[in-house]
Amino acid sequence: MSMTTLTLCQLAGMSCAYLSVTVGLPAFVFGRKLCRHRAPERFLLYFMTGNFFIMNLVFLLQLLKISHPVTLILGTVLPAIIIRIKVNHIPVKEKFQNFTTSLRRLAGGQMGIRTGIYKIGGMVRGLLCRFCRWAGFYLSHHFFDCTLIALLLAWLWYIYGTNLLEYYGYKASDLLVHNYWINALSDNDIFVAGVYPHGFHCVIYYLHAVFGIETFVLLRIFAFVQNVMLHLMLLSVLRLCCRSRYSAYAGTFAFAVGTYFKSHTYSRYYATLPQEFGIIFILPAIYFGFAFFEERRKELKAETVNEAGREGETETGRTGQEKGKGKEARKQARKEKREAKRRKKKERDIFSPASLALAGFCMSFSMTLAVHFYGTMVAGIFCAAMACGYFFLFLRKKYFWKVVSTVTVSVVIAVMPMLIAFLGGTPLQGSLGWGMNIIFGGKGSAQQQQEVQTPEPAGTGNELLPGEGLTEGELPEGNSSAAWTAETIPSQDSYAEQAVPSAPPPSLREKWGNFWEKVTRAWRAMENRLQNYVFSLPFQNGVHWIMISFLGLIGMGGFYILTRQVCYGAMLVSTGLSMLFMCVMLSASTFGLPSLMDGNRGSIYFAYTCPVALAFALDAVLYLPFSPLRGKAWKVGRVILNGLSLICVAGFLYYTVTAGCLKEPRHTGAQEMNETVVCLTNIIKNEKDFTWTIVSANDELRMGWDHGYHYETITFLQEMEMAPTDTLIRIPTQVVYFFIEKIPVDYNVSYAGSGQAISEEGASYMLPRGSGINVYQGMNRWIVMSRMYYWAERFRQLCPNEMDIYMETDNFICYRLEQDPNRLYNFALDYGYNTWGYRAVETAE
Amino acid sequence: MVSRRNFFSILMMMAVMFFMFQFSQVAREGQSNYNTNIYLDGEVLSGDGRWRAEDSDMFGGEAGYAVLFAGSGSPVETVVSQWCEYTKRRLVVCGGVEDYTVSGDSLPEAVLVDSSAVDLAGAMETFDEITELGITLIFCNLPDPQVIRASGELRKLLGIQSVRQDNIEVEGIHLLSGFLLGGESMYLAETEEQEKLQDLELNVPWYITAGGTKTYMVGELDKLLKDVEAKNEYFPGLIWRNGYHQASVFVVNGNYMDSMQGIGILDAMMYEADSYAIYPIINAQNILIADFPDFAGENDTKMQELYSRDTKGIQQNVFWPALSGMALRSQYRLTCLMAAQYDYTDGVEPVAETIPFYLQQFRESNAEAGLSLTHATDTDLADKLENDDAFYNSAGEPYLFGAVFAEEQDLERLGRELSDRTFLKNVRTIACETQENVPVVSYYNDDVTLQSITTLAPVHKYSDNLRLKCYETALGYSNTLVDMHNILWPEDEEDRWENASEDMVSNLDTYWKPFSEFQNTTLSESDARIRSFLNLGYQDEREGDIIRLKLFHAGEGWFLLRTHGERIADISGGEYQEAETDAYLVHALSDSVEITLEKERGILNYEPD
Repeated sequence: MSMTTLTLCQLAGMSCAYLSVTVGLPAFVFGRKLCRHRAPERFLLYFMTGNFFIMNLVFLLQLLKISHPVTLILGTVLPAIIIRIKVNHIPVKEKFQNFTTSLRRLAGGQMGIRTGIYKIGGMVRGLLCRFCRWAGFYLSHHFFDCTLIALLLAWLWYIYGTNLLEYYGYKASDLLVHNYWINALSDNDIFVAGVYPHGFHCVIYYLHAVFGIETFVLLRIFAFVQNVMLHLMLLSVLRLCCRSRYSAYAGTFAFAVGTYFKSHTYSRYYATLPQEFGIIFILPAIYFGFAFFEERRKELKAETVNEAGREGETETGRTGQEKGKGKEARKQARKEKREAKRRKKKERDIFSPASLALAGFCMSFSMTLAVHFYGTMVAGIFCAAMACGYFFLFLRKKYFWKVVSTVTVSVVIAVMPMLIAFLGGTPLQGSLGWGMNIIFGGKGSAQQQQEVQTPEPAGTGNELLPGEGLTEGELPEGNSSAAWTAETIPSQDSYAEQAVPSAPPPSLREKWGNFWEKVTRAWRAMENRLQNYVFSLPFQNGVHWIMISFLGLIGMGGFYILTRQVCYGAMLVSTGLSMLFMCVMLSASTFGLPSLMDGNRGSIYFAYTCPVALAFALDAVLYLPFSPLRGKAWKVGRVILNGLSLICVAGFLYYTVTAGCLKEPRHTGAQEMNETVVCLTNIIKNEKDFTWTIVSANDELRMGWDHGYHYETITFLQEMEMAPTDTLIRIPTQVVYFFIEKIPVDYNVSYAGSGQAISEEGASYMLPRGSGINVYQGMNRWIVMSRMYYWAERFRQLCPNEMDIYMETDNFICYRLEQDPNRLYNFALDYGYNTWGYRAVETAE
Repeated sequence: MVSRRNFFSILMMMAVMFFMFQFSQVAREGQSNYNTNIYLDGEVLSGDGRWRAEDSDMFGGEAGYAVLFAGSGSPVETVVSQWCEYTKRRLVVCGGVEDYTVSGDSLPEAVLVDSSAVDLAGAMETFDEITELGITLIFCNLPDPQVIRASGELRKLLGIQSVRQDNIEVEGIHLLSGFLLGGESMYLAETEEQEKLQDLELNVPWYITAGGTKTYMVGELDKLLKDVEAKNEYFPGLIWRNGYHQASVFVVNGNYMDSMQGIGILDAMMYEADSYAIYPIINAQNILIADFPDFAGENDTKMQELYSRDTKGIQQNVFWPALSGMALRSQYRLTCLMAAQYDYTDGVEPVAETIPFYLQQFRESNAEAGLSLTHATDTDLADKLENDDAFYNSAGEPYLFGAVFAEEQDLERLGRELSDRTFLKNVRTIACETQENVPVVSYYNDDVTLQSITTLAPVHKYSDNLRLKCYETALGYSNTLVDMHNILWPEDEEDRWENASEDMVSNLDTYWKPFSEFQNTTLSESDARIRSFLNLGYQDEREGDIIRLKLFHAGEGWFLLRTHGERIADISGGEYQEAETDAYLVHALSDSVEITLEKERGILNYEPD
């Protein structure tokens, strides 16, 4: 099987596995209860429930130290069955009796085997027919939706999927650390490197443990599944929030199809990283927030109406009692009591729309925190904006406490595992320490983040993508820092310095003038920041107009509130405000505020949330003429509105294509050669577990963790350096593989001779010293690989029958050595360069 | 009262039953040709046409050769010359390094060194020349450790990192897998029972092998020493290979090359030095039951005392059922060497009446009947043969005996007697317990072959096992003796049947199991194969994945093909079966055999898009 086919099969397998647990299983459990909800809402609820469940299941089992495929499967299946039975009130006894009766009849010969098979076949046939009917109905009633979704998925495959088939390795430098942490979950050692939000790792581990998909395969290609879900979340949320049907697609396509955002805002999507996984849960949290206010408002409204009705009835009852109809009065009182009970019960009902929205919010907000703090920050900004936009509802008692308690619960759920571990004495992981400093007022800065993360370079803060060396302070795509620092708003102190005590107090007009100047400066600074970090628009003043549209959203929201479309209006206001807050967050350093998130990271979130605002803006404009319509008129108006939105989508796509703004797939490259992944895959498949060792530069250390051992090339070479006579280097497995790059890859660092092949010259340089990753970077990698190659060739000369070439291409060679475990080879030998070669170069220098 | 009708029915039923039981036996006896030796059919090759190094031109051109630096008449020379004869190589023996000049025209396949006869440190220049030409260099033994310690160059050549101790008593010996056929063996005495089996030389110099060497046999150190001083890789090497210049250098630390077992070690070394090895073997596994049956019953009193049966009874009712059962279960072909009488002075005469019974039993068990010529020390061989001749002639059985078992001291005289005695005139092969440096198989004379006993079944010590593996590797041959004389004339508890049979069965089932792919034969069958083996000449060449084998002066032959991670994909002119991992038993059915090999694990393909 070719690697392309294998990758496709693995991708299909993991997609099915992931979706079956995160969507299929919740649908199986709650399908009947939620069948009246809209499809995108159901999708969001299922997806949140599924992810929330498996994430917390893994957390729980890990904390109890009993995580194992068996416990995970039981922990998944049993609750699912029990909840389904409880929720749907399935008569288990009756069903079981029917089943046993059928079995008894089958065993007793009262029912023939053919009849039994026919009955089962009938059930399957029935299910298939129902599915086909549903699919046919859905296709016919949502033809454009289906077409556009198919188009979106195909496009995503073209942009993000094809790269998977081109480069097999990890696409970010710190995936190895994530791999290590996920591997540790297999040993029930969840906080192996300190307290850290492990939500992403829990999901990957779950898929690995339950479905047997290799962790390194998941980390290689799960990025695509993650990407699809990320886009589907955006689409679903827009679809649920917009009044017009197709405005949602405009927003989604703006994000997915066009090059309206700078490439670094989506370059990380090529790698399976926790931050990008965490993004998935931001928009659902926001949607469920919006939904809660709307549904709760409806509930309260309905309650007020019912209350009024009941009061009228009670009044009548009292009059009747007074008239001496005592028996009927008592009956009436009992009825009222029953109704009050039912109302209370309904209020508590988790399946009421408002409760569902709160539950959805709780799960998604909790997951943003459990996966990556940055996601929580962005979700938090939206929540703050929501509190402003919905302030007239939020501040009411019947909303306030529910919202506050839900947020508290979601935070507690997410933080609890980490808190338990922390209280148990586990220290914070490097990047988390930095986050805590920010929260509790340390010297939070991106620079400090850099400092904190230095000892653990791959500690999730500074993932480096191949060919990308962006760090904080550097500007993407060639913009000079001078361009935007010139716009920096002077700090409070500098204003204070500028203030001249002897000057006369400014007049009101001057004060206003000063204030306006500050505002315009801040505005320009934010514009510049967005221009430099986020947008890459093909027209002049695009960023300016986009920012204006944020203000426009607030304005239109206000208008809709005034026209009694309260929740829709508040949603627009909240979104506009949140985008402005995001702008401020991105430009925090220019305002002298602590930088919660560096520009590169912030721009990723901004680029993801901005289409929401743009789609809302479009929707709000399109909906404006139709908003007064009610009843039949609205039915007609809605068709026109949908048609208009579809035209807008088509127009937008047409413009994108004709203006040459179509995204091109990025060839990200990988941190390792395709050949190494092919070799590793074959080794895992063909060799017995833990009978082999790979001697290679770093990457395979974590990738083959569950199956074999790893030996660092640099350690191997250093051990025999200058001391071949009494050195014993042995690798205690039956088979040993040696991975050698003939043309060493540039592992994040290039040098003048990048791309040159290994050579005697390379081997004759002094072996790099140290143990960090730098010995495998730049020229050092060339030296190490050259040395390793000449060692391997020398050993092969000594043991020609035992050491074979396992794979060889122009770029790479892999040797395979078989040895007797009872008498291991001593690999330490004089291969020429570890003795005289070293000295020669040293002398020459 | 039984009616006539019922009586008649019962009678008929009884008649039918009687007929059914008796008919099969009568028919079997009637049809049996037990008095014919089926293993003695057909023409056999004669010693006239045996392969000789000096006549190698007649066997397809000049044979490859090996050079031996050794003193004249040394045990190493005997072993190496025998190995050359079996593998159809010429041997050039040089008394010293100075007598030999490396010639570029015709290079030897291997140069073997008996270190006791050569000044190794002084011969480094020659060794450099030899190894630079890629000629395999084999040190059949090592000089004094002081000599090695003194010369760094010699250590480098031999692949010795350091000399840890001049002498150490190892606890056991570990033969690693992949070298000799039969796989890994640990000759370590950890229990009292195992201590009885330990008879290998355990005092060896302690050399630590250098990086890049491959060790095949190693001395095991006791646990204390293991923990304190050495890891496995520091254990004293006994046989190893070093890469030096372009060649493989094999070193034997110990006296393993002083006896005939060295032929197996040499074949294994030649295999390890190259990408493959193919060489002729015999492919025969014999089990000889000597002095069974004994027709005289001279020790009836003792038998009666021990087993409450006379000799005839115990042989017929206890020994034979057990032996035939074992043969049937394990598919062995027994050669039962009948003894007419042991002591010709005690007045007890042999009785011939049971001969047909045994011949019939042997026939049914695919066994062959041979003759045992052992006798009491005070009996002359000529007298014995005369008496036996009379006895077998009086028995009147036309059975032709093709194999005899004789004692080594009678071998010389036996040659003269063979043609004189009627009952011996068809003998083609002699089995004999010989000294260790006598060829395993050879021509006794042009008409008769000599097959040495390789192992004793009831006693299988560690050295026996190592020897068995060596012979199986070199010849695919074993000639195992079960001496019933000890059981019929017991001296201690060990000689009692229940003990001896238990040891015999467990040894055969355990130690011969790895060689089950080799064919079980009777003495006469193996004789035919030995003649074929000794007479054939062959040449082989490899071109890519194809090995071409040419046979001369032999209708068929068996070869052992050993590869490194390759398997036979196709064969023409013969057939094959896998003997063990990377070892194939090839049966050449024509003069030209073509074997196509394929890698078990090819190079992994990856075509970048």
